[in-house]
Amino acid sequence: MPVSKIRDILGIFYLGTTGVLGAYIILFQETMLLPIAAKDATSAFQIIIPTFVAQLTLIFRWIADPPTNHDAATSFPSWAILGPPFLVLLILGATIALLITDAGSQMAGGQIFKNSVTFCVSLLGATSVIIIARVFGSGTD
Amino acid sequence: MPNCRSMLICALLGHWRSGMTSPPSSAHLRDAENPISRWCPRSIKRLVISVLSIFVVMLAGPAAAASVQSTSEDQRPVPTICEEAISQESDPIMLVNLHAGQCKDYDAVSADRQMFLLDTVHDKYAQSSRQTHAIRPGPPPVASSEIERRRITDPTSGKSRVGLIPYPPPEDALPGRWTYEFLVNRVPPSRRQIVLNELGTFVLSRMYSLEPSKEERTDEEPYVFNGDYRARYVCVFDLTVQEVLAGIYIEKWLKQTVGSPKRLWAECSINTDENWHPTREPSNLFQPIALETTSDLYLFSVEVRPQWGGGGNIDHFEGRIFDLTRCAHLDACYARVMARFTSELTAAFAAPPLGARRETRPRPPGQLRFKRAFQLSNVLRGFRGPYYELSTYSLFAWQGPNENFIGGDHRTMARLFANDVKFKQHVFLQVSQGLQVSVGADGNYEEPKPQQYEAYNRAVEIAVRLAVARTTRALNGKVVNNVGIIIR
Repeated sequence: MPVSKIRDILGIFYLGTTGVLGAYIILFQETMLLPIAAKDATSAFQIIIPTFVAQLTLIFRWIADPPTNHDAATSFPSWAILGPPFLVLLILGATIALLITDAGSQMAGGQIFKNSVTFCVSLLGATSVIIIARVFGSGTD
Repeated sequence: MPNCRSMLICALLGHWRSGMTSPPSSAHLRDAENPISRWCPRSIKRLVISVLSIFVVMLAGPAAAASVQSTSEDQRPVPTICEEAISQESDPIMLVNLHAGQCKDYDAVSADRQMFLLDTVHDKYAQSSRQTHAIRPGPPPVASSEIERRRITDPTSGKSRVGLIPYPPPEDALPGRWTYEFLVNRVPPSRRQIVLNELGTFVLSRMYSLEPSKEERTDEEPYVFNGDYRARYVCVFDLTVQEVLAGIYIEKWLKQTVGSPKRLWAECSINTDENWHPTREPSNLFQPIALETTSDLYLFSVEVRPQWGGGGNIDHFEGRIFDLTRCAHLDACYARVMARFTSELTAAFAAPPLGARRETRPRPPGQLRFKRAFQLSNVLRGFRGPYYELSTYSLFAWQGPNENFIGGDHRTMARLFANDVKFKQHVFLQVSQGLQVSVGADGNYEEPKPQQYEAYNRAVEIAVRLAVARTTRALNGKVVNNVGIIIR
């Protein structure tokens, strides 16, 4: 997979996820679309946003000042690029769908959402973050 | 014998002393300054105490004289706990452990009789650690605007309840005219962080130390017995908010301490049922644990002092509901009205939005209890959510005279008006509600917001008025100003 495509995928994923998830938590906490207490929502927000924003900073710093010869081919397998974002979107989507379906009637929604978000952040920290450092770092050209 | 004599003298001097721990009536607390403090110059007061000390030396020896001097608390500087007395362990059994002769600010007698509330509370908290409960009642309302908004009244006057009143441990009986009193102790700066860390363990405190409420143990009258329990929890008050500071009666201690007040840790209590489900608003009696100012940190201890004792009563007043002055046979009329009113109340509380079922456990005459536990709140449907509620409604109905309403003091009512027909001519009702809400059934049940309280206030009022109207109509009466006038 060309490195430019990797950058596109990861850049769009981090920008979209940070923006959409952050706005979703802020706007829909303590509603039927995110039936968790405000405290839990704030905790989840504080877990996910700093990590994601740090990645966005790396990405946009690179975009603002790209090094020359930045389109060199890499040997990353496709699953390593696509897998983590796909899994994270799947987990977050499934968690939110589960919480909406349950509507707070049985499950400890706040705890589940915080755990899910923490797991996703950890997953990305162990996978995509390393790729980002590689493809958006100054040494990729 | 010298001890007995010194105790007697201390008891006599107790008349003069200000009473932060005396009976918790608002008038007393506001005007508690003793006559000597108010009217005598300090020099005269010192002279009186000196003369008495000489007198005591003649009667009981030097130890008793020291005791008399120590009762002059307005002049007594705040003692500083020495560093050695504060444990540096991470989770000590006792954080403060004073020994006689260990700290220079405490003489042998006062060191032995200090009981630090932080350690007492920590001990009780640890003992109930296995009973984990996610129900976390909020602190009792302090600001006068909040008390008025929630319509919490003092039944002895019918006026809004006063703010928070410090009250020493009532459960430990002492001989007559002796009571516990709080003492402020300064924490040395080098140990401040250790104590703050210990206090930090109580943030968002769960309830602990469930025990039968005092009424159950001491009162013989069946209508006073309500079977409630009392659970304790730790509250933290932000004293930088002026309205909060004004609502907590700690002026005396603020005069003794240095710096502007920042935070107060206190042990609060709330009536619950046997399942730890709150049944009323939190009590406005509290025990101070620690006080933080901009300059220092202070821990409260309790010591035995001569003083007067007393009691308090807190309820949420609803009002007069039936007028029985036109009934020919008052007792039969009251029984008929209450039978019908009970069934109408049960229906009104069971219907939406309250949706609370009546507890089946037999209760004393005139008392009803409705409950809606861990279910979706219909009342809060207009709010964001989904909110689940833990609601317990305690309803108390009693007969009384219209022109001289003295509220829910049932015992006083019964004794004063037992043989008076006017005592039975009007029916009053109080509704107390314990309410915690959670987003999701399995979340933390915490104190609702003022707007949510107001929604419940409206819903309860509608349900009560509806039951009164239906009862009155069923008994061929008429409703005037929300009071059901029963004709026969």
